[in-house]
Amino acid sequence: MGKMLRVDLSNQTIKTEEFPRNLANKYLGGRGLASKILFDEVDPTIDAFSPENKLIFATGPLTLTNAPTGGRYMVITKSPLTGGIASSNSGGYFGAKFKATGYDMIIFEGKAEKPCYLFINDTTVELRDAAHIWGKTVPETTDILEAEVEVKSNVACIGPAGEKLSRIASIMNDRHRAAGRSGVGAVMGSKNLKAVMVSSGRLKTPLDDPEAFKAAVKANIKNIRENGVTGEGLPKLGTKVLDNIINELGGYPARNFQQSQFEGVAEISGEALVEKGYLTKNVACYACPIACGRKVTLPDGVVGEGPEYEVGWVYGASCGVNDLNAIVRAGFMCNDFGFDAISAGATIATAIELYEKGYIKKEDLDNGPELKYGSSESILYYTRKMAYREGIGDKMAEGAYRLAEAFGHPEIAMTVKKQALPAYDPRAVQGQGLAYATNNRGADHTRAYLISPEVLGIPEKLDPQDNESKPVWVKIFQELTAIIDSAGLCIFTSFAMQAPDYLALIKNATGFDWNEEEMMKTGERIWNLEREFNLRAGIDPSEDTLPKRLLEEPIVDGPMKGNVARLDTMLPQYYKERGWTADGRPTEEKLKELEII
Amino acid sequence: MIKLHIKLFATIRLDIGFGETHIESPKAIDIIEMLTIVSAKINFDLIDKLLENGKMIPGVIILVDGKNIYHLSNLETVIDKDSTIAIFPAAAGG
Repeated sequence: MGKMLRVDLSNQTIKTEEFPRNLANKYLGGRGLASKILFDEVDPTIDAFSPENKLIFATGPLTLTNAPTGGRYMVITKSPLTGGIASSNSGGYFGAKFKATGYDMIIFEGKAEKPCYLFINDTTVELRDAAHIWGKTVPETTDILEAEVEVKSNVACIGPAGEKLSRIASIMNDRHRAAGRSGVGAVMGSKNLKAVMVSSGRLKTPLDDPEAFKAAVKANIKNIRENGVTGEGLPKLGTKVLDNIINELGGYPARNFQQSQFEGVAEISGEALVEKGYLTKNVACYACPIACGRKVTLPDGVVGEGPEYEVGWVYGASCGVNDLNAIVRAGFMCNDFGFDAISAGATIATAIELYEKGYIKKEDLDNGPELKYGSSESILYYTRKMAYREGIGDKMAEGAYRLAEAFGHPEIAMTVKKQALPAYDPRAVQGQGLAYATNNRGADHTRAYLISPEVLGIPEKLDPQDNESKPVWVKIFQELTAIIDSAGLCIFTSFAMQAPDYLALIKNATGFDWNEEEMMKTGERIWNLEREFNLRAGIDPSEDTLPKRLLEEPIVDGPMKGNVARLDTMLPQYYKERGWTADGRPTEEKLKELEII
Repeated sequence: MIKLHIKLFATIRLDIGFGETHIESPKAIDIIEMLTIVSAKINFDLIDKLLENGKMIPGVIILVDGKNIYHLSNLETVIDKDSTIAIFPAAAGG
């Protein structure tokens, strides 16, 4: 390792550069280091689709090790959805296999004149013509590229959604794994870059102290296997084990967050996926002892992966659909077209509410099926329309916020910084709401998964309705997650691993002479750097908020009846915990303390 | 007579093959007593599945009418009226 690629798509040139080791001690790798490069090299005010934007694929120091889940990579760019920093994480095998070719990172610059893809193996790095795969879906693209080489290869690519610059397009790798959120696939499409294929890598990640590292790996795998969550719940039921939990708790948003429980949950839950016989096999990413992935076969023989909890919820409860077969198909379609499934399903849920309230008219549908909650036909039909920007699908491809805005009612979009909310109602889990509101990449649960303490009691149980304790917990979770992402691991490890466990792996892999405080300070540095990028991009701190519905309209029924999201009490304390100004800006003193300026 | 609607989820539901049962008690009972009665009825040891050294295994969730017993009186929570109890073994996130 120790090298990175800089690919100028405009001039079709490729340079190999030394990996910036001087920055690694401050930003670790993956998400942190790539964000620092974006911060230094990209004007935050540019249009995300301009050639001046850069698209960075980055691995971490633990990628391609046998640390549990050590196969992750990140994609960093300026987001066309939020206007701020986009950084999406993905598993599968692509990240590790890319690193095995000898590089830690790729920086794509400029824009290719015509569609191309990047081919990398242990002796060759070259841009190749992609005319034959442009327009193809993700599995078609992957099949064609894999057939062009004789050895096992791994492909990351965009589908039609990315090609057509849908602001909710993902980058898919290994067919079913997504760098999903914030529209990274659209930036790839804007550069006429269809795919990256890696092949024949044989290198291994260097380790500073192999014996100590091996011992830390062994101890952590044991922790993961013996933990009820990572050793039993996730392997047996996948993430969809959560459907019933969150529904029983009263925080499972239905019909675009108009309700907080879904009457059809029994038909679409993780248990139902097993009981109906759809689940055929567990699937693990590189070096993962958990294997939460689901290989699913539908009664008509159609095979794919998923749905995981978010996809199942968004096409199920949020669209009012209790037809598991249709939900699974919708998830498959998102993978095939290259969509962030959360955003795609949320856009349809938004469209349905707009239609039912009369803001979208029947004539807007071009003779397509009526947009009704509970319509299996609608979710499949409009997912396709959105992928190819046909009819009303053209507006839907812009995501929920811009769709609702186009029809004059942006308040109906359940978004933060224009990105759709995931499957937890902030009125029921207050800390998760604060995490959504303050997230640097817009609404999202994977930058601070407060469900872990608020619902599951890990590492300790917090009252989901308490507000006072949440700001400090959100800050800690945001910073530890930044470390996990930057190291090249999956956040699911955090159900069984604590900060000292991550420190042991990182220190013995990198040789960094860190203590726990220094590691967490690195997480804080990454968070503040991302925040500063967003501020410079023009994202005002007033966007640290939630949809009005969640702030002002109490939950109508169930165990959490009567609650609203209490950002008014949590947000000022959160800014204080961060050492920011009262209006949410990192102070000069804080930025200097973190060596950002 | 107190009537309890018991809902069982995740690996418990898959292991026993059904997801609901009902029990009755002539008096108020705590969580351990409730689990003991339900275990006998369904022929499945819930205490072994959910507890370790007398404490709930991290990730286990027991809701009484939607309220997590962690925020009531934990295992000493007393059920003294007709209620719905939801029981989850250690689970995880999405």
